[in-house]
Amino acid sequence: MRVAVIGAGVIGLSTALCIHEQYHSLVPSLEMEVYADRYTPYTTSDGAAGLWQPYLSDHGNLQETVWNKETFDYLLRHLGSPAAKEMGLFLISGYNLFTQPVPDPSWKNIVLGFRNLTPEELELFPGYSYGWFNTALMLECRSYLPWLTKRLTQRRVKFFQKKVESFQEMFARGVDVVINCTGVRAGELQPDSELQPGRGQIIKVVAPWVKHFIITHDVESGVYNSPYVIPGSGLTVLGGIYQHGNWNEEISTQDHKTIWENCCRLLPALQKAKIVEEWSGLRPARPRVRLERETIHHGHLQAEVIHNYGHGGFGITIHWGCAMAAARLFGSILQEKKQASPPQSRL
Amino acid sequence: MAAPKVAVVGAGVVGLSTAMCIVETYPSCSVTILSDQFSPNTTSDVAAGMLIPHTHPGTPIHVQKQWFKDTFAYLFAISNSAEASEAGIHLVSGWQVFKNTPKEELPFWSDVVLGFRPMSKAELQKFPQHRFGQAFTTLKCDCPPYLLWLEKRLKATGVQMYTRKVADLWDLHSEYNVVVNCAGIGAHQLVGDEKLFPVRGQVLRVHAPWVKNFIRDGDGLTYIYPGIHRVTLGGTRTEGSWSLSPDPGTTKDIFDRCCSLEPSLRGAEDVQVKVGLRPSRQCVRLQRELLSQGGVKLPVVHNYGHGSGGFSMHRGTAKEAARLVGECIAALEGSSSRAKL
Repeated sequence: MRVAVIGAGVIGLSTALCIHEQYHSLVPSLEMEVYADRYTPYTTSDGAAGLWQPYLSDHGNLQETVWNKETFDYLLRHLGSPAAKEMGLFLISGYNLFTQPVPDPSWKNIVLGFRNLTPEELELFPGYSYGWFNTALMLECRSYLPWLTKRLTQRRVKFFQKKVESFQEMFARGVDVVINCTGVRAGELQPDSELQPGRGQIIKVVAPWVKHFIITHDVESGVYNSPYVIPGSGLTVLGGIYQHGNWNEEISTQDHKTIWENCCRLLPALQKAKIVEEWSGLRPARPRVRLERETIHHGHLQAEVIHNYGHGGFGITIHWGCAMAAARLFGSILQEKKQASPPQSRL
Repeated sequence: MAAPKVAVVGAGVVGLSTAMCIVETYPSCSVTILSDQFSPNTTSDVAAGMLIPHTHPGTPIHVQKQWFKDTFAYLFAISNSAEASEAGIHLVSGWQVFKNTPKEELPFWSDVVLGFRPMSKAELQKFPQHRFGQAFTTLKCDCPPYLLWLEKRLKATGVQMYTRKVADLWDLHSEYNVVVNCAGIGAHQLVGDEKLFPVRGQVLRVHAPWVKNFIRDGDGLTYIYPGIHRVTLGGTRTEGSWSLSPDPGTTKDIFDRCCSLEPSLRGAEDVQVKVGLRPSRQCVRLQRELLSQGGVKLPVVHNYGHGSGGFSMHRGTAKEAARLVGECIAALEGSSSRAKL
């Protein structure tokens, strides 16, 4: 049974690991390969700060809320393990700021210690009159993706640096199941009008005195178009750009100015912070995550594709729940194959 | 009296902040700081600088609360300004956890720090050996940055600083009009205060930049305080020990205790070990004294004995000490004008 995972961001690698962990002992013939044109540190995931936090509203996608919770709980269990440091996993507390009262988010009982901000705390943030405090998790992909790669390599999963041009290309090589984790460029393998880039840009600075994440929200500008400051284990990420439909991966000087001025207004001490890195990337935005099976016929054969893409700006937040859902879909494919071809060795 | 000459003995957080308050309140004074140690070699430099007060048994609670409030408000304003990183002041959130429910569930400072509340069950799951906890956000003063920032601001106002071991406060009577004694643990020898005793604290400073929250065991012995560049792991409270030498057995014990609160610390690197002697006393000695020999008088203001609460109370006690200096100057001016008659 040959499985090809296309895409080596957080979704591709975690889905590969989840499937391999669950099924390798049940399917001794399982051979898994990963194909991607970009590997860490050049994936979209690598640019993300790594904060676990879903969007404010799940727009009725209850399943996504469940996947977010499964991811948080999974990561929380790993916090005390020796692997946490290598994974780039740690707890972090911080603030969500608003200019007016808003309903509590779907994730208020998933994170730790969720509460409203006190008037004294709001004094820290002039211009914001309402907010939340909670403790969440950071999962830095510059560490997590290499950790996943190591786990997969230990399981003898093979990696190929290659841009896959079509699903057929995989089937022609004898792949039985393709796991499509191609993120923002999934449309190149199969057109998807619902998938759009949500362009983001960030500045990384040296500001080790910042110990909290600070995410501001502007109902008018929309998600991520309001400044945010997220301290990592090394550098602090400044951001606040979300441009729907913009495919440009180049750094914009206008966006740099916007980020810098807004973040310095939010945290005056940042004016003294040294800028070390800049990055721009494309969030794979979709009204809902595409996580489903598709049977593709080629000639008289049929092969299976499991789609797992379109995680927008919450890929890290939702990744493990989606990986487990993809693994369940894989399980159902195995089940069907078993029923379709009973063992013939008895003859 | 033109430009009263004030000497502040001691250059830790209490000495420097007291000098600062004197300069702010009585700009006509000429203030000089004399100390045998300056940052990074003061007791303050060993402390994590967390604003979590300890209760002094000998001082009324409302007084301690006012001192803490003054200090918190002062530092809060700096943390919110462009100077925060230079001054080493930053906000930090975390948890104080208790193996047994404390007698006092609401400490006197609970409404001064930010967002104080009991920990939720989910938060306590991270600490299986502890049954109760408090979550809050407070401030941390990183040293040396905070002391160096104070020194810089003092020098900008014209304050002079000299490395000098003062053996006896009286030695200063001919050069200065008022002496302020912020000698910390040094007051034991300097003024022979038998009520002042060291409480030895050993700490580890480690590189663990993924630790963003503080964790403190309510017993005060085990704590993890993330600073700007390093995380301070503690500690010890050995009463009466004057030893400034790090003890390797203690180092291992502190590390193990902290790792049991925060397992990821096993991956911490570059462990530095430091020892400081908390200048402990039933109550802070914050009072005037008039030294006199052969008709010559030297007004002294004492401001020492802050024990574990130096950082938590420094600005509040400094303001009070400055006020007492003002009283000394007024008394001198009163007597000098009487002398003219």
